[in-house]
Amino acid sequence: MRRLASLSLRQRLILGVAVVGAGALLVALLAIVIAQTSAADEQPLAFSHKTHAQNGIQCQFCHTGVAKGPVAGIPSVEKCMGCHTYIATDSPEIQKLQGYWERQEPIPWKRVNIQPSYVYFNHSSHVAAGVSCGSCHGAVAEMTVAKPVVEMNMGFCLDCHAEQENKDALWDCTVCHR
Amino acid sequence: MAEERQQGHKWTMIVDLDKCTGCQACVVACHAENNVPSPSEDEIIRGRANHWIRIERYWEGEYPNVKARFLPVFCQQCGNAPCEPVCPVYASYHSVEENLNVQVYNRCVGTRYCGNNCPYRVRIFNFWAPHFDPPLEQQLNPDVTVRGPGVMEKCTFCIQRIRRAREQANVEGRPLEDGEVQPACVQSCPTDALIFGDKWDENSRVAKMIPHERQFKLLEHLGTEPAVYYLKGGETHVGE
Amino acid sequence: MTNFTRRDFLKVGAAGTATAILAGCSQESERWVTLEPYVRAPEEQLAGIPSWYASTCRMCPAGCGIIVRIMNGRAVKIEGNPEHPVNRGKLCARGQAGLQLLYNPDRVTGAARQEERGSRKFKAVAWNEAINTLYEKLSAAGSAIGIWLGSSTSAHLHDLFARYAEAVGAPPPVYYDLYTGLNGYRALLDANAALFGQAALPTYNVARADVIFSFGADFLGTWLSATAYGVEFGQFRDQPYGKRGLLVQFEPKMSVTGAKADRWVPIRPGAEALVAQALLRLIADEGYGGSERAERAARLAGDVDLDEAAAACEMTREELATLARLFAEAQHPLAIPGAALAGTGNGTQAVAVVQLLNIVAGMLSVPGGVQFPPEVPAGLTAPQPSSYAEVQALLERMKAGEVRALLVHGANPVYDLPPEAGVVEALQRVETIVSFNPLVDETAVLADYLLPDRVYLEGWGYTVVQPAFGGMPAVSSQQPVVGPFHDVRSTADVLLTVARGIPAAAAALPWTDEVAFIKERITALPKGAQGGEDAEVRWARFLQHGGWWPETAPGSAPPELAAQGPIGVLPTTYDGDEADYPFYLHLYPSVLLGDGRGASLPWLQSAPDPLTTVAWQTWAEINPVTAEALGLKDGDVVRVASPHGAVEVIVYEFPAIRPDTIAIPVGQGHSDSGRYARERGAHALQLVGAAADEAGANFTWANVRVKITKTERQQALARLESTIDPGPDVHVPF
Repeated sequence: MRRLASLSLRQRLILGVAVVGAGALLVALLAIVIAQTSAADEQPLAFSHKTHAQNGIQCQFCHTGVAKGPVAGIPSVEKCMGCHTYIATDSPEIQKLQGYWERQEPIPWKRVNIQPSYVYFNHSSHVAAGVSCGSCHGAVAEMTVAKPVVEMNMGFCLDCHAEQENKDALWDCTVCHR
Repeated sequence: MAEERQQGHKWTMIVDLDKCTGCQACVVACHAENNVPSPSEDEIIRGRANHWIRIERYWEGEYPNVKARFLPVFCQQCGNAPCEPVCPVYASYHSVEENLNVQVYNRCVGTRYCGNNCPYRVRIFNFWAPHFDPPLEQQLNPDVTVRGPGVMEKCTFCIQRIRRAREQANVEGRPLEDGEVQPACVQSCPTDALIFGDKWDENSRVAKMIPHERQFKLLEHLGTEPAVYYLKGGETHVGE
Repeated sequence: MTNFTRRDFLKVGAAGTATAILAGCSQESERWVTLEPYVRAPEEQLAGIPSWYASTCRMCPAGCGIIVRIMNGRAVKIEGNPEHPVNRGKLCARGQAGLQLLYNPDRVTGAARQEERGSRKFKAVAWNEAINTLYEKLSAAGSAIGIWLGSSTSAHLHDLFARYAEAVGAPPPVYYDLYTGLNGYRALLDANAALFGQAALPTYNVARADVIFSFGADFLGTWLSATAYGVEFGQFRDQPYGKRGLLVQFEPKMSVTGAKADRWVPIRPGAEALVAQALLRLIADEGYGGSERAERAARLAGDVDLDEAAAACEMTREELATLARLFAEAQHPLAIPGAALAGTGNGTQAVAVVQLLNIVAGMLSVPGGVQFPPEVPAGLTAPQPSSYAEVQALLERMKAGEVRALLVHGANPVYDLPPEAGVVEALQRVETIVSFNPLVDETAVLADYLLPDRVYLEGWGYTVVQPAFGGMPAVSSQQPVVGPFHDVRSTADVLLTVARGIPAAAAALPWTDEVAFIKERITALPKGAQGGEDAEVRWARFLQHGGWWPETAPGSAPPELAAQGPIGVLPTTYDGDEADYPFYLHLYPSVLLGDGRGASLPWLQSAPDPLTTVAWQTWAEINPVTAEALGLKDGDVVRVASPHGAVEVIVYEFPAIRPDTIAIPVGQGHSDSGRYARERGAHALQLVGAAADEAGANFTWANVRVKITKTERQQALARLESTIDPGPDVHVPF
């Protein structure tokens, strides 16, 4: 291998660009990895799952689709206002909520748990099989801000599927990929 | 050939060539259901018409005693699939549960070996990223992955419909009924030339129709064991 | 539906419903998906679970019932309505592609004005201003207006326009486009009026027939409803009488129906009436099918040269006699007069002569025979297609400057008629032209105002089904399955608003909006198969189930015969001398593009034509023997010329066409109508003259002769053909 000193200026430039390029690529890749596993940045409203859970509200009260179909769903502004027309109306965050309602504007929530587009997950199948919400979402009821505490990658899914009675059926690719 | 009932379902298609009018309803239904982009004029000329189901037209005889024969061709969901063993990354994979030959898009690295080895020419390679002139992307079916460039794709017997129906039946705690799942092509076919079901369900329409006196399988001699039965066109019994 | 924006349904993504396009390995875009859930959640919609809404297809006037799959507020799939009596759950390619009309990238997104006709420079106009302008123009024009409707116009809008025209003293709306022309609606209506005294479109019970003689009726491809007849054909092939039926197709070029026929007879274009006459003569003279049928034939058969008829079919007289015997001796024979007959100079007579075969066989209002439409109650009637004479009358009024405002909806006259009809010249004499169509088509490009109507998936309406498939009187419902995708307004509502300010029309159009009008008409229907004692319940079920129809078909008595003797048919004459123009021209509507409407939709453009497997192009089908004699081969670009005009098309060597005939599909050759249609292929109507037939029912598009000259150019055909090669030793038994 030639020593760096013996390279021409042009070669050194090319090498330099290549090194910087590779570094940038690494940083970018890292950024994507971090982006995929880290929590969503700030939500438009400081909504606390903990407060609501402590008041005895079940997950399904707001995430109405969870036992009925693939998507758990996010409540409409109207649903929030069902309670917050009367409850905690003097809180600044609730006033923000009322602002959305008055403007008839949807709340731009940031997604917390995300799967790539080639993964098809069905909430209702898991609810029917008796899987608790916390098995995948962690102790959301304890969180003031929901965070993706469990890394939901393919290994995570398969680990659990492997333990089931109908393991063979649940290991089929078409269960999640279609 | 006696076939042993195994795990899961044996999804089977019957194509009655006596009824197929070549009308293309199934072709458009498939494009709509499976997010298959429309091939341009240029791509078709290059032999890259990306239809998951296509209707081949064969001429027979000479004018004036000429006949046109329509043959709908799509993935035959082979029991002994030539596309499977050649895939270096196991993206072309045999689903034991559904008894289908499936393509795992996120595994596929685009060697195109499977396409080369398929005698039915039903595997389609995405040379380009799919493009839908906005707002045509609104038509996309959210139940089906939009395949990226460099990926092989093909007919799935509408696996998304099969899985959705199975999951629903599961949640409701009941078995899947015959006719509950219909791939988009079968659903659309005006003349009922396409019939679909689980051959291992004794009460299914396909189980009752097979064996059939007019049945044959496409390129049967290759030993691919297709899950598609064709019924050849009949001859008239009237006069002449 | 007013409470969620389009961004909502774009963005209500969740695991399993993300629509983001997978690009390479990066899911970064998906990582930061923002959820914008509903402000108010519609009760019946849950994210990730589809809702289905029933409506009516408007891609052709057949009136098939559809159900539309809605996911997160987006329409994503159209399927046939399984309850519907017309299509019984099935849907053709064109019907399914309706989604691409809704999401067409070239849709007119709001009201617009064009300063200079043909400039294609449209300036957005606020709807209030546009409606005011329309009001001013219409009140100034009074009775000097023209209304031109087409087959994608809903029956309710036709009705409202007709009421408006009557109120202001204008002639009734013209309902005519290339679809009604190429399907021969008017010739069929007039022929039945002459035979039975009632201008109605009958249906042909293909499912229960055993021997079918189809004279140029491509009922499995494009004629009236390929879906309804497709369902019947499937049942026909199920062998209801324990034997496989016989379908004989008489046509110069093999159609989809011809491909499925047991016997394809390459008849000389324009000779259909001659052959039908000959079959009648043979049944009468030889006494085929028993005394009753033979006696009827003797009464109704005209004089005919049997040798000429046999020669027109390229068969011997004996073979023709065999066909006559097969027809007459069948238990359930059926003769179908098709659209190709309607384009000849003697179309109405030709249709009537074919219909005589059914009369001779006693096949009126019996299973496997001709079924006449039962009456729909509550005064609901299908709009009747105008005759070509009525179209000519409107064009004359326009040319004479008697039309100050022309309203165009659902038709595209510039494309729908041959250039010699003078539509463009007539339009130039009209002060104000308003197009309500969703795309800038060939007519809208010459309009002053675009006031786009909602497309059918966004709008209200109904279809009184005609012809009544299965003998079932039916009114098919049309409701918005999604909110309007653009700033478009219902034309019916615009008309009702305008009419309120015009004293002569205000009393005739008193409804607050179109829904009030539709509801009033529909709730007047008696209880149907959907049940409901209460009017509100009946209305709800009308929308929910996709329409109104009775529980069982009421059946109808065979009509009284108005014709008691033979029908004389004028011999077909052709435009163009045989010496100069050696070939017959056979035009036919494209299976996928229909009358040209489908050309704007990429799903239909890119789907292969069933017989040639060609997509995106216009080709000329030429018998290989003829091609060889002319030194032509596949992919040669040729100039096809008639006495009326010329087009350049690509040669396709087609083995199932008469050697003396050239066939060209209609549907391409648009100068506008969006990016997928523009500047693509040729419009075969340029080869056709604008003369009316003997009855004034149609312009004559099926009696033209052409010549072919080779150009130096070549264009590869975009076709699939057949790719499976079983190898030389393997017989594929299909």
